[in-house]
Amino acid sequence: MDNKDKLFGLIDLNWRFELTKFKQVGKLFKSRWFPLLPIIVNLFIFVIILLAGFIGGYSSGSYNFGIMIVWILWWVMLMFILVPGFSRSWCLMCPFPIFSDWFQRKRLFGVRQGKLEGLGLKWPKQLKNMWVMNIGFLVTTFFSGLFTVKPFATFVLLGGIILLAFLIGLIFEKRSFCLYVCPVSGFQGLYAQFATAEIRRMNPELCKNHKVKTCFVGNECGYGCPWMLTPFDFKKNTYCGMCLECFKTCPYDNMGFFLRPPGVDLLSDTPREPRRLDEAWKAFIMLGIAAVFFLTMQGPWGVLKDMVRQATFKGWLIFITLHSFFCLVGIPGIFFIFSCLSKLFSGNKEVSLRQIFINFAYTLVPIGLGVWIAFSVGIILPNGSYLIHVISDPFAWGWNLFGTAHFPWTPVFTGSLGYIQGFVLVIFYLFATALGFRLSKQTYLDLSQAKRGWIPILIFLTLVTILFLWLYLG
Amino acid sequence: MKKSVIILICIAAVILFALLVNYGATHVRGVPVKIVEQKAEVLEVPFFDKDIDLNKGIATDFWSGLKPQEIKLIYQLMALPWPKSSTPMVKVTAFHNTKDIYFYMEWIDETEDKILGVNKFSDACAIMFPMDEKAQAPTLMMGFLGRADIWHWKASRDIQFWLKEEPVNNKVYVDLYYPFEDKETLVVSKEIVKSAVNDLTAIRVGTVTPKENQYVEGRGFYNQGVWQVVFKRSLKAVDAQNDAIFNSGKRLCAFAVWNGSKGERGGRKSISDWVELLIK
Amino acid sequence: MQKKELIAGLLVVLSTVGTVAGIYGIENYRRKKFYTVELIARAPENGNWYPQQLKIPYGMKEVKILIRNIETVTHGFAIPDLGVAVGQIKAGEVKVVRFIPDKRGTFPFMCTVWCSTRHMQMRGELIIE
Repeated sequence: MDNKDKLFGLIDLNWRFELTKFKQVGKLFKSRWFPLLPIIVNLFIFVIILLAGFIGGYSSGSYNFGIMIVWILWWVMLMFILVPGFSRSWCLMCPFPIFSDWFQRKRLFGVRQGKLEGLGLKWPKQLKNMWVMNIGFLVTTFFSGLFTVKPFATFVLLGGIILLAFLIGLIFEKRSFCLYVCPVSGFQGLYAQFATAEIRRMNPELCKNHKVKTCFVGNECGYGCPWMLTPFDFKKNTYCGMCLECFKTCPYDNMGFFLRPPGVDLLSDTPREPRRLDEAWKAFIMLGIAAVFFLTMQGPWGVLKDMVRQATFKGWLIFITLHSFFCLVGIPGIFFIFSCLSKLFSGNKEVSLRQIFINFAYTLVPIGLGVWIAFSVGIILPNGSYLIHVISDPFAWGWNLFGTAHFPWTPVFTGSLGYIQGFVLVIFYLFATALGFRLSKQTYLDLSQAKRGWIPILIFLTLVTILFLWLYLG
Repeated sequence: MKKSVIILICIAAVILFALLVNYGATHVRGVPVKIVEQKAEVLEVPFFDKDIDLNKGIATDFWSGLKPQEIKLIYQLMALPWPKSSTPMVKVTAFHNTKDIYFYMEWIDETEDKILGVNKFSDACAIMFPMDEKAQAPTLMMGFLGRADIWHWKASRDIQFWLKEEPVNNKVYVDLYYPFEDKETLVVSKEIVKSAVNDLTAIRVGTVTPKENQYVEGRGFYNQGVWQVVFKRSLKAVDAQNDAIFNSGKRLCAFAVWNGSKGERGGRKSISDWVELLIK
Repeated sequence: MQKKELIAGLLVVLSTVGTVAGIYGIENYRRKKFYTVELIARAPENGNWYPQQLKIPYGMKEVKILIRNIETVTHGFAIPDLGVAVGQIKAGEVKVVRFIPDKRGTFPFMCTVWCSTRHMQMRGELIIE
């Protein structure tokens, strides 16, 4: 990366601000209570969510703690703050794998050295990628008309994920579930590349000279990276679950938590962490789902809503067929055409079409994240007021814990909703173009080729943004 | 830990979750109960070679020889204001003579209310026929999901038509002509009554309108705390667009009763569920 | 270390089993203490009122019925003979009906809002004995 490379001529891509240099933060990251305590707090919240879903049955979702906290608060928090701001910070406090961790380690708080409990099988090599998560998340969206509406469906989904996390933790090694299966994990990994925070080792020399890689194998202070990364040299946020074990195991306190400019990881392509086709498809799928969700949830088309909510089985089959085709074939197909054009325009003969396709697919990370943030705004502004109600009466039993049980549905700023969404889309479009041109330079190496090859991709990104602007702004 | 123990734990976890899901799935709508599909009561309309001239009365002796169908009535609570009481039951009999169709309604009412006045309302009864036979059977109400033909007999109208008596004592009364009960409070127009039964049409709640042509006849008598009312119309519909059609076989209808002394008028009434007519 | 491990374990148990037990415990106490009976509003095709027959002893100081609408449509509630009614009970809402059972008999109660094609059958009985 160019040392003086500045995004929009303003943001130095090499700028970092270490938060762990503050003593309190450093101490917190070294403590074994962190992130255990936030995990337990979230465990408590998710127990209430599950209970509300279980009790709620097919009752009204807008009066159900489970539905509201998961789909209005948690989802929006993920897309709006946690991922773009702090990378996989949700994984840091996620309670789903706590039981399998407990089982594997036989400890909640302390560190037990030696072999972890469980069968400890290696995850199949062919599945060591995002494909299971890609398909898993896509299939989950088939039932979005149930999960986001019926409390019991949310119970089944979350309960199923927690059960799966437990089973996989018993059978496979470490956090295989989080790395290769969890439907929430994939898109967080993808979009965490754009995040404005990262965990990295600080001084490479220290790591180089440290013969026993305690961050990888563990020691008496903590476990070897449960995400099976090599904290001493990884370069991308994608697969770092921020469990903070490396902070604890590093005897030199050489791990740091940094603020950084957005999107830096998109420009990183190393032999150990190359750009990959499965990640590219994740970007396509996420963009496709965002479009379909907008059309079906926030659009005015009743026919589509009926299909998604399974009014008729045939309608639902049509929906999942079109939806899958759009996400898995449609968008990638169109993008492939633009990639061909890019190669054609550039005049380059050496770079493979596959590489061009994969590299430029990462421009969809900022676009996709922008679209999801805009979508989240469209969820929280009209429906956020339900949260005030459900925290007082989580099970619709007539409780009034905080005196807000009768708070009426109060949509806010819905008049300006389209404009806010449009603004977000434009901002992220600008990031996509700024980072995309750099990707073009990395792809083609020769500046004139990069400029010519960039044109079709720029047109694609512009068309996608215009399409979403049209959708959101009507 | 032994491999087998781990596998057993896995199986136990799956079974536990499956049990939870199963319990939850059977309780998604609360405690499960056996849902009994309520069947509509059937009222047979047999053939009798009998003609009743309403000028001469309602042939009480003839009706008393037939076995009536007891139809349960319930509060009408959909439209405000609500009725103050419910007439629990009406006895209904029907027949046809290939030319005309007759309905006989009999119900207990402690007071005879046929004179209108301030806060004084007439006893009444009605039969409703949905015009759209495909209308969802349970949607009772005046043409809630389709058009309905309503025959409305009213005691005050009866004396006006048959006895040429003025149905009003003080010239001032509040319940003028249903359906306009909440709009008109004073007599501003005088209707020339063509029958004791007002033949009405409705397409939605609040759209009840008298038909231009009135083909339904009717007459009622109050006898020792019991109202006996007979409806008569030609079996063949004159205006197939607006009048109920009675082909042999099944068709739906519903009954309503108003108790004037309990302040019932307009929406305040007792109604039956759908009754299936079996025209033979 | 042992102590901290114990605390962590205790916190996890509290946040899971403890939470569930606590919530059910509180709710059971609240139901018994503050309400005479719970009535679930649901359309006839989904099971109708539950329970469909309420028995209340005559002469109680005050009857408090906790009505919960567990559906996604609006329901209503009325006991016309006792002059008792609440307006709309919207989807997910909870309403409390209070009255003094000062006459004996069997009184029908019913839904007062068009809730389903079988709305008319959404009825039950209150027996004051």
